[in-house]
Parts: sequence; C-alpha cells; structure tokens
Amino acid sequence: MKKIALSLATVGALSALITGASFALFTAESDNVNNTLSAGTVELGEVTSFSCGVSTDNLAPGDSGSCTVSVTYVGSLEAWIGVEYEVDGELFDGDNPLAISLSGGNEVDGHYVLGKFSDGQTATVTVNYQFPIEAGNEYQGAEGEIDLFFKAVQARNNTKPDGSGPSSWN
Amino acid sequence: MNKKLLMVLGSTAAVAAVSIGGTLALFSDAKSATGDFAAGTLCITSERNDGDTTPGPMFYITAEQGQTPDGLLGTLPTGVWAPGDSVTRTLNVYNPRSCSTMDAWLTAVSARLTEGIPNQYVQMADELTVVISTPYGEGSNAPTVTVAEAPLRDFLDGPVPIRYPDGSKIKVHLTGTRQMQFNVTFNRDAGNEFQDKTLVVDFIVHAEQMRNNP
Repeated sequence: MKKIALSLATVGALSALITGASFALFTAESDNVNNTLSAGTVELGEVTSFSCGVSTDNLAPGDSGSCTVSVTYVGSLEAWIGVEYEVDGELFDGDNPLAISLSGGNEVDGHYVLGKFSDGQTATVTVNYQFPIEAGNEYQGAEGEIDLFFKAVQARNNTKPDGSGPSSWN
Repeated sequence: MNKKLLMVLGSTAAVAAVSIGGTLALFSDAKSATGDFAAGTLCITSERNDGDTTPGPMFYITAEQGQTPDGLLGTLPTGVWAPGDSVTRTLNVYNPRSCSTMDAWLTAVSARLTEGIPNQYVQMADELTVVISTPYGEGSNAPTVTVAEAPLRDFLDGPVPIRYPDGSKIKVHLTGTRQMQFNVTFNRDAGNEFQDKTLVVDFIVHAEQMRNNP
C-alpha cells in the first residue's frame, strides 16, 4: 500500500514537472540601450523691416523702386522658404493701382520660393513697386500697405524631383 | 549409544557452522558510480554592426551620443529627424559559448524608455514605425525578410513577437550570429508638435531555448 502511494506520488511529481516545463523554458535577453530619436526643427527667426533706399511715403505717378526684406532661418533641418504678400488700401485700388512684384526667387506651382536654407542663413526677397504714370488725381494722398508672409517647410523628404521647390507646403 | 548419537549430532552442528561461516567469508566487491547533472545556460548578447564603433546604440543624433564607453565617437549619427525620414541600422545578436550552452530561438523584441532621460516625449512613439528584418535561411545569399512591423509604441507596451512570414521561428545556434536590421521611419504626417522633441529608448531582444521547445 505504501509502495502504491509512493508510485502515485512519483507520477504526480513527474506530471507536475512536465506541465511546469512549458512555462519554465530557459530564456535570455540582450539590450541595445540609449537609442536617441530626436526630431529636428523648422523655424524662422527675425524678419527685418522694409529697406527701400528711398522714401515710399511720397510717391508720384511714374515712380518705381524696390525694397528688400530678409528673414533669418534658425531651424536645425534644411528648409524651403517661400513668401506671399497681401495689399490693402486705396493705393492698390482703381484703374491704375500701385503695381507690386517680387524678385529674388522663383514662382513654383503658384508659390514664390526663395530657395533652400540651412540654420543661420538669410533669405531675402525684393519687393518691386511701380506707380503708373497714368494714375490721376484720384490717387493723391492715397495710402496702401503691403504685408509679407514668410513660410518655411522641411526640405528633406519634401523636395520636388526637379529640385525647384518643396513638394508640399503643409 | 546416547553418547555416540550426541557426538554425531555434534559433528553435524560443527559442519553446519563451518558451512555457514564459509558463506560469510566469500570474496566480494562493490562499486559505485556518481552521475553529475547540471542545467545548461542560455544567454545572448548583441552589438550594433554597421561598421560603427562598438558597443553603443544603433540610433543616435550626434557622434558624441553614439560614442562607446571608451570614448570612441560613433561614426553613423543620424542627425535630427524630419518627418518622412527612414533609417536602418543593424544589430548583431550572438549566442556565445562564453555564457551560453544551447541553441536559441529569438522570439520577440521590446523597448523601454531609457532611464535618466528628462523630458521624454513619449507621444513620438506613435509616429515612429519600427520594421525588423533578418535573413531567412542559411548562407550569404539568404533573402532578408520582415519579421516584425509595428509602431514603437507597441514595442514599449511589451514584447512584439518576431516570426518569419511563414510563421516559423528565428534561430540562432550556439556560437552563431543573427543579423537583425532595425528600420525606423518617422511618420511623414507627424505635425509641428513633434518639432524639437526627443525620445530615447532601449531595444531588447528576447530569446528562448530551442531544445524541447518546437
């Protein structure tokens, strides 16, 4: 009777061992530590005020000239910088408004692109104006304002195949 | 008569006594044998392997961040990441006889935030996709196949199983080396909220004994 009891105990222990084995495999691990993944930045720095050489607050029909405005790029990622503008005021209304055009970059897909810039570089746009000689007295004392908007977008993974500008601005 | 009978009986007893005594004095010998039992060990080690200095992390921004404990600068810094960036690095996983005695399966990979790093931006783990691949089959011409693909967040949440596309396990024999490529891609749709953010993680490769573990 004691022998039978011993045999049963042995079977029990074996089956426990077998059952436990599936949960007690030898395992090991190996670490590769300190993997750093840091996103870069796309950031515009300070924008200069308009530098026009001559005063633009006393225009007469037939006047033309240009002003420059610059922005410093301070992002860690290379970026495309573009510029847009809006005008407002009587000087830009009517049949012979003050005409504005930009230079210093290229028109790409409806966006004016100043180029590709790295940290610390400066992008400059030239704003050209021309007051038509045909403008009459209705413009005397008229005022107008132009607002420039600089924009930047990452260049890496976002450049057109021909390298002319970004694939997307957003 | 009685005396003679007694003498006969006495002789029989003496012979019997001698016979019994003879049994007790046979030549004899005994031997024992000792069996030693010892459990084996399983351990794996790993090192980055893209021609870089070792040891060190696979992914690092600057050469200084990737330097070895001896001060050798890392030679393959990624630089800061931009949305859409994709970088592949190789991790050699060893099953060395110096600490292991058995073949192994590589079963999973997990990740954890590296300790002691302030300002971890854990949300970044949702925008980083990790693809792990390794050669399928033997020989230098064995094709490299994907064995796991998931956001880094999944690896941080727990071990992500690694298996060949046909479901079979990935082995690394005793003294063998398994090359594992880690490709990390920064989601191109990641927005400006990730600018200048950092995440530092440890990758952990998990192994199990191969024997008795089909």
